[in-house]
Amino acid sequence: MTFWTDPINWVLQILENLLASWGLNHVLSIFIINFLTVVIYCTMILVFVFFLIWLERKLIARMQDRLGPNRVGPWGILQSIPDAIKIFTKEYITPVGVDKVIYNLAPIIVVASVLVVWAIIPVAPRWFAADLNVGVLYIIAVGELGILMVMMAGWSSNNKFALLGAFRTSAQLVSYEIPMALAMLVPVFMARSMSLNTIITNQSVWNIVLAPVAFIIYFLCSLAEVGRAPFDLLEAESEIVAGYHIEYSGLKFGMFFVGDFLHAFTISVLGAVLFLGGWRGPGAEQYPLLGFVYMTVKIILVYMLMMVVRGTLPRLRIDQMMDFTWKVMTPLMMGLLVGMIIIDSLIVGLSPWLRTGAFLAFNVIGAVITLWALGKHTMPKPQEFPLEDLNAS
Amino acid sequence: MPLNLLYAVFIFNAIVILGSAICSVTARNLIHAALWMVLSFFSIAILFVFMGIGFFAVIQITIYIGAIAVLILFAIMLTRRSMQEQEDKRLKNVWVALLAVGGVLTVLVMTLRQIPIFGESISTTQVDEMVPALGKALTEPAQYGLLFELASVLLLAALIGAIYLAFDRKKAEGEEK
Repeated sequence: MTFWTDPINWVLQILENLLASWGLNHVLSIFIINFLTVVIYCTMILVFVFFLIWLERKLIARMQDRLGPNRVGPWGILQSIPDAIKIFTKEYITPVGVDKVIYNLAPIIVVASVLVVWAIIPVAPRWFAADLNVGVLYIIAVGELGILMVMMAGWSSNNKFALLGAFRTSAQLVSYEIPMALAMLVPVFMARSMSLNTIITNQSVWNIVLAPVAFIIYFLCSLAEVGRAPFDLLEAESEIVAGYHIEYSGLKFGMFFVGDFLHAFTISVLGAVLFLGGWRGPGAEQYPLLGFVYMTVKIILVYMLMMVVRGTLPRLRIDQMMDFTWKVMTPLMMGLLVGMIIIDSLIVGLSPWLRTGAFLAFNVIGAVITLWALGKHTMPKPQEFPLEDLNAS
Repeated sequence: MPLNLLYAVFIFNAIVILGSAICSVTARNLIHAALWMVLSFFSIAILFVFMGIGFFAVIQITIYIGAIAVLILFAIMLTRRSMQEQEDKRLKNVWVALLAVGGVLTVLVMTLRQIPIFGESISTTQVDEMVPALGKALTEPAQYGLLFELASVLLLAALIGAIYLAFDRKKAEGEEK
């Protein structure tokens, strides 16, 4: 076991030997090592969010023909650090009549509910905290905790607008959870397992090739799940002040802010794991660090796609947002899932190439039919838009 | 030492389950009651983890916290005036309620005791075999497939019924205008 073939266990072994040489109890030393690992792992993820915030601001600025942050550090890369210090020094304002315990608990659990997803993400071969055999279900379950915390934050603020914002947010999250969970079922059924490790090792052909429509639906739902443009009507800064976290200030608001970015990042990680083969790539099995590099590239690709969509599309209205999930994505994803299961049972024993071709063809046909039906039935012609109704009301 | 530590965590968790359940019943504020219930559900999920049934732990959180608790919170928040603390929300017939609950508990325990494996410890590998077996039993036509499908038809009917009710009222309001 050397650093190049198994870096994590190599470091852990050294630490364990070190603690043993200090004469510590074996159980206690394992406890200390696990504790340290968790603290370092979570801190690294949170620090990485600083970089992501900078990346997003820079990229969006470039798309909007601005310079973006360019003062602190090379290319402004350290801009997030003074921002964080500034938010530290801000005053905590606790409005009258808030439910103190819930009000203070909500931002913490929002961040925690995103961080615990990282426990099961395989960052590289043999490089993960836990390999749950119910991994995908675990991700969905933890996401539900986030919804609950949003409602708690909105209700405990003792503000009508925060409560309304919480209703809108949880309605959107609950609605988009359904097609998203269905889309996550496609990799599960391809790998015949819910463990993220097995899903990665079974992707000799990436799931995005086998089921591009599922990936697109997953991606769109993930945009809605993290409340990013074009689904950012929940906290549309230019129309309403903020959503459910309107009463939060200082670092408590910062927690929601970090939680948002972390959630977006985590969801692009899951996209890379479920559909882009995770750490798979030439030589990754042998050298985990190489797998880590592949994984990072894939994650950044998905994340950049998210930002490009944010910089390009205008905001949806709430009825469009609801129509889109219930009338388009959920039926499409259900049909796709059933169709793929039927095809899978029909083509048992075919060569991998034919299998891939069959799935791909089914996906493309499904997408074409859906787009044709959508264009024919739901798109209102420009002159049919009821302008008089709007003026009358 | 690790076994004792696990035992301590188990005892702590048990206290949290019972305490949050009691708080949920006695809380004056309905939202607080619902949130205590969520804590109780969460601790029960931890209990499943102790037994080595990760599947049930995750399902417990998905269904009870993700679906049922959110539904209850929604219902409370959408119900008019239910969030205000009123004078006395305590139940008048506490003894009748206690009697009914005690009866249900006795019947449940009696029924569960008749299951042959009740009280025996099960190894983790056995659990790993039991969960797929449960899934197969639920979907196989020879076992519980028909009942499973009937239950889903019932739920679908309830869903359509709810949509119909909501739809009709909206239409009537529109006509009044």
